[in-house]
Amino acid sequence: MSFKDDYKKQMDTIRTDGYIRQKISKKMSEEENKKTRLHFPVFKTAVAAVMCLVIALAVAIPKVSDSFKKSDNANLSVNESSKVKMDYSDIYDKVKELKNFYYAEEYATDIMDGATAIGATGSTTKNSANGGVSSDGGDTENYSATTTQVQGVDEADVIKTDGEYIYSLSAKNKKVYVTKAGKTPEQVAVIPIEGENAYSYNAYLYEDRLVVFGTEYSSNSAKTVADIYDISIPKKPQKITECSQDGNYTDSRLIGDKLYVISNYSINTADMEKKAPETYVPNIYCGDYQGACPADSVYIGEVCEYPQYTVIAGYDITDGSLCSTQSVLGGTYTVYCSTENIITANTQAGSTTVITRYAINDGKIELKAEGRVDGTLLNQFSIDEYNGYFRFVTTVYKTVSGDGNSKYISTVNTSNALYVLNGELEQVGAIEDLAPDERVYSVRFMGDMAYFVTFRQVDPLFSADLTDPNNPKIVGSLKIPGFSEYLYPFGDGKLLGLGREADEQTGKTGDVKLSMFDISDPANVTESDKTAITDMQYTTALDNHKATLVSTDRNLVGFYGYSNNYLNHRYVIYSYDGGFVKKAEIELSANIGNVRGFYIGNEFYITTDYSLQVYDLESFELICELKYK
Amino acid sequence: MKRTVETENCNFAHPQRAFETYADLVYRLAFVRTKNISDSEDILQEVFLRYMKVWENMQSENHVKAMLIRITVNCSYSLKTSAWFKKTEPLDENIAYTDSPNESNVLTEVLKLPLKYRTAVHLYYYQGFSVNEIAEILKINPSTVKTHLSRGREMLRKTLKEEDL
Repeated sequence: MSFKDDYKKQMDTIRTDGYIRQKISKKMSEEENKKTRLHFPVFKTAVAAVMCLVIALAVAIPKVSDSFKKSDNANLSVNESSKVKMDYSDIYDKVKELKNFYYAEEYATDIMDGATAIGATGSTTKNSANGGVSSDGGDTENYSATTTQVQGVDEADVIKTDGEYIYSLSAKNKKVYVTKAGKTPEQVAVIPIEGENAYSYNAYLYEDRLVVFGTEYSSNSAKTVADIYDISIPKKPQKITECSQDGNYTDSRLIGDKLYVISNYSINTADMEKKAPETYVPNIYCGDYQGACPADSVYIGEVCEYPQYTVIAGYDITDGSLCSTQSVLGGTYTVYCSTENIITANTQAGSTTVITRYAINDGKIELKAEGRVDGTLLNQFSIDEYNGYFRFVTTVYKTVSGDGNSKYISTVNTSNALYVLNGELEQVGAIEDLAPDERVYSVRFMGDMAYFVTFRQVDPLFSADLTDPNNPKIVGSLKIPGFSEYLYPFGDGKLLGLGREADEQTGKTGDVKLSMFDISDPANVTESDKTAITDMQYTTALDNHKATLVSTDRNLVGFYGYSNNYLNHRYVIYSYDGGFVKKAEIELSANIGNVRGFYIGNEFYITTDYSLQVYDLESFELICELKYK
Repeated sequence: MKRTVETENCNFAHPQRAFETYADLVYRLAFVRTKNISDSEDILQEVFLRYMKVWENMQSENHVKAMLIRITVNCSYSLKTSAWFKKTEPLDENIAYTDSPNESNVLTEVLKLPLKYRTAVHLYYYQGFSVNEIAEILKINPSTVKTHLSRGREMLRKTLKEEDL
């Protein structure tokens, strides 16, 4: 072959991928549209002036060009634009120009294992008027609650209890079992989960209400459904109503009696009809409200590449009525919720994450600000709100050579960063280029301090002082082999890490391990003790904080796991007394679905998709086993 | 594009159509110049956004092509001087662009050539332009083009041992 032929052959393989082309083509359309249209969402809030500033960054002042037809809104002056109501027709036009992502709802990951990465935490607590669940296991009265992130904000899980009755959801069997707790537990009721194509994830319990979530799939769409039951008489649960919203279930939170549900909804642009808003905006079906969301509750995000909405709805759990809804064009996969704000995060290709902030108050949801941070977020624990500031820990990826073609080696450099943003999601402080070539494995924010673990072969645990939002500082770092996937405050200057061991030389990961860090002096964090769980290489506690029992009240840490070859299934329980003490190791069989451990009074319970076991909380001797029917 | 300007002599030059037709051309040239996928993608976008400002003046198909090549060359210059470009690592010279061990790694060798030589080689051998056309497109002297080409060939002959260069 001649030089020319060889060169041609090799050069022909150099192409961009379809995704880049779409992106550029879309960008070109946007530039084109800036000449012809005004896109401004309506803001009803008092901070509309601030919002305008944020929006102004994303949408250029339009110029009207003679050769193009003027839009209907072109008559409005730019100054008025921030208050312009966007109507269905504007929304239609905007969505129509986006290229479809996938149409089928493909995010039904891990649905059978209720421990979805999307993560609701399941805790059942009676949220009394004087506040709620503590963030490290929510030990309210004499029973343990779901491990959650923020005090006062409940997260959904597969098991809930109020200390008297246990409600456990079996995804495999599509049933919710209602069992009276005690040394001899008694199953009193079973709630079947209806719908052939319905998959249930998790639940909440609040006073006499039980909410069970799931996603219902039909041939071309998905709906997130919340079934609300009256369980004032536990043996006779009564379904009161059903609230549903378009899209796949992403996450939810319960604050008091107000439920916030977040879903991701994709539109097939081919099915859109301008006259029928229900074909291009999300629909909500809840009590009196049935149909397309109002146009003024829809916002076009700063970055929206695909016709996909993040839908947030606020419901009253007592009667299932809709309090408010907000939809943003631009999907979301990570959700953080404090008592006052919901933060949604969506990572864009090219390693930036778009952050959206919604103020929440008694069921009302209001979009407040949009911003971005460099890098990707690990999970909800990478986000925190404190004193009006929002803090993020990210891993930043930079591609050095390409990987769009199998002939090339991709080199991706990583580094890590911490960002502090104000209420308007503008960056006020940052620490960047931390731990190059490593990525974040776990994060825990605790007031003025943040602790996070990065890992490649050796795991530094960083302590960051965030007292001054404009000037965050790393004050300490501790290098240890292995890594922690989750960090839990464990009272009194202690931080518990749950993760895995790793070989210092090769980085090869090993057994699951627990570490206890002494953080009483943040500049001098030490590892007080560690223990490896022999022959356990995997536990759901590594991807789901709700699968872990962490109780500082009773000094217990518990989780279920198994070895690499899917053998040796066990639920292990440890205490900490100057060092880790193994309290129990309970053998379980394989294929039992979701496993959760919790205590009520003096008994310890282990629930799976099939049965409930009761142990003495001191001796961990089996008292009784109940098979669910 | 949401709106197409329906004037006869403008259709062929329309940005979206130009993008569909010439995205690969631009991308490959950008790649030859920057040796870097991520820069090439950035340049691809930049080229067409810049093109959108001038497309209405295009006289012919060739004019479109020439304009896109010129913009690409200019873009890669400005990219090259930016601080960001300086931070990126040079292409790994051990990467093979061919699966077959018998095939000479022609592309790698071309990419090793100095910028001006490899640009000329690419436009001549891959895009099929003549010396005069290249001169016209890049707004340089035809004899300069000839020099770049012959020096590039000489260097390639040494490493590739090809007779038909």
